Amino acid sequence: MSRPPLSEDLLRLLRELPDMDEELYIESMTRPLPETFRVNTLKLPEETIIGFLAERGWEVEKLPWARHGYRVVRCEREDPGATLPHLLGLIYIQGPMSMVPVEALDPRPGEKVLDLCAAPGSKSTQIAQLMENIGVLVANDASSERIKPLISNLQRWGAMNCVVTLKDGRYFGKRMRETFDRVLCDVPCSSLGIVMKDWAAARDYSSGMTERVRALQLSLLLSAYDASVPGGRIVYSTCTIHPLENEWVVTELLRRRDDAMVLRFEPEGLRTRRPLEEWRGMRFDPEVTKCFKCYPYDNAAEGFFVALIRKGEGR
Amino acid sequence: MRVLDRSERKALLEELEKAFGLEELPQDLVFFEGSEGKVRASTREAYEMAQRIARVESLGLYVLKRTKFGTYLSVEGSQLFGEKLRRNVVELTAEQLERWASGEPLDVSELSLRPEGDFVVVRYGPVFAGSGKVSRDGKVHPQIPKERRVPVE
Repeated sequence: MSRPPLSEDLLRLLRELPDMDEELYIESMTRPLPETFRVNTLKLPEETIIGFLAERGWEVEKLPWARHGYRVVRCEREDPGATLPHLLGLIYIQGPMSMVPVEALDPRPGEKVLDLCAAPGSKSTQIAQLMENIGVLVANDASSERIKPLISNLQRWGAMNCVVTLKDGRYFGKRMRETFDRVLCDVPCSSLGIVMKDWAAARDYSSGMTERVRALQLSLLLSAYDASVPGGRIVYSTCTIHPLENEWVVTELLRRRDDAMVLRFEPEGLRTRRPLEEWRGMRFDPEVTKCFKCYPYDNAAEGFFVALIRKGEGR
Repeated sequence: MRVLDRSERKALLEELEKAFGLEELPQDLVFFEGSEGKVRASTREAYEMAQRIARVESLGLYVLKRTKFGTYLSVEGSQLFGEKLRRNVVELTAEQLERWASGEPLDVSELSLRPEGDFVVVRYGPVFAGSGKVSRDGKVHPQIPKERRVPVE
C-alpha cells in the first residue's frame, strides 16, 4: 500500500511531539478500524440481542471498556451498517474509542444531561441508553446539515427522553446556567486521531486549523462548565492528537474556573499515555496528566483525548 | 406540535384498541400530533425541558401515523407497544423477516394469521419490525421508510 499523504504542518507536528512514533502513526493510517457496535438495551435485553445476532451468524467479542460494547469478529454482511439488526435499531455501529467519553461521563437514569455537539448521534444514543430513557437528554448541534442524521439516529435508537436543539453550544452556558447534572463536550477538532477514516484530514491539515478551532473548543468547554450544576460532571473529548486542542484547552479551563477539578479516568483494557506537561515552551496544568489520552497505534483504534472534570460545589 | 389532551388520548387509544387490541397508553408519556397525521411521544420530563428552551428541533419519538385507511405504528411504535398488542400481530418466519426488512410485500396467504383490519404489526420472536398495510391485492406492504430497509445484495 502506498504511503499516506501528510501535510508539512502535520509532519512538523508529529516530529515535535516528544511521545509520538511517526512511523507507527503513519502505519496506523493504513489500517482499518475494528468494527465495533453497541447493543440497544432500550429495545431488548442485551442477551436477547446477542442471541439474535448469533442466530444470524454473527460472532462478537465484548469490549472491556464499554458497557454494551462489542467487536465484530464475523458478520452476516461485509457492512454491519447494512444489516437488519442495525436498521431495526438493535445495534449501533460506533468506533471503539468513541465509546470512551460517555463511559467517563457515566450518565444515570433520572438526570438532566446535555450533549453539546451531538451530531450525528453515536454518543447521544449511548447516553440515552445508560439513562434508560429516564431523565432528560438534550442533544444539541450547531450544524443544520447534521441535525437530520442526529434526529434519525435517535429515532432508530428509540430515545424517548430526548430533546434535539440546533444552537451554538455557547447558548447553554449563558441561558441554561447550572441546569445539567452532566455535560458532554465532544468538540469539533482537527480529527488527527481518526485519519485512517479519511486521509484528507492528514493531507489537508494546517496549523491554522488548530489555531482557529481551539478558541471555539475552549468557549464550548466553558459553556459546558457553566451549564453544569455545582458538583456536576463534564467530559471534554476530542479525536485529535494536537496538544493545543487537548492539554491546552483543559489548562485554560482550570485557569478560568478555579473550582474545576480534573478526575482521573482509566478505562479498563485500554493502553493510555500520559498527557504532556509542557510543549513548545508552554506549561500545562499538572492536573491534565489525569486525563485519558491515546494515539491511534496504542489500541489499534482511534486516537482520543478525554478529560473528566468535576465542577465545584459552589461558593 | 400539539399535545393531545385527555379526550384526544382516549380517542387515540380507541383507534389503537380497534386496530391492535391495545388496552392502555403509557401514563408517563406525552403524545403530540404533528403534520401528516404523525404522532410523537416523549417522556413528561423531556416535554417540560423542551418548554424551557427557545426553539426545539425534535422531541421524543415518532410512534404512529393516522391515515384515511387507519392508524399504524412506526417501527419504534411497534417496539414500544409490542408486547401489549393483542390483535393483528403477525409472527414471521426468519425468511419472511428478511424479505419484510428489504421492503418486499408478503402474501396474506403466507401469514400466520388472517388480518382483521387495514394494518398489521409484525414480529419475529421478541423483535418487532413495524407495520404493514393490507391491500386489496392480497399483500401486506411494509410501512418501513426506504432509508431503513435492508439493501438487497
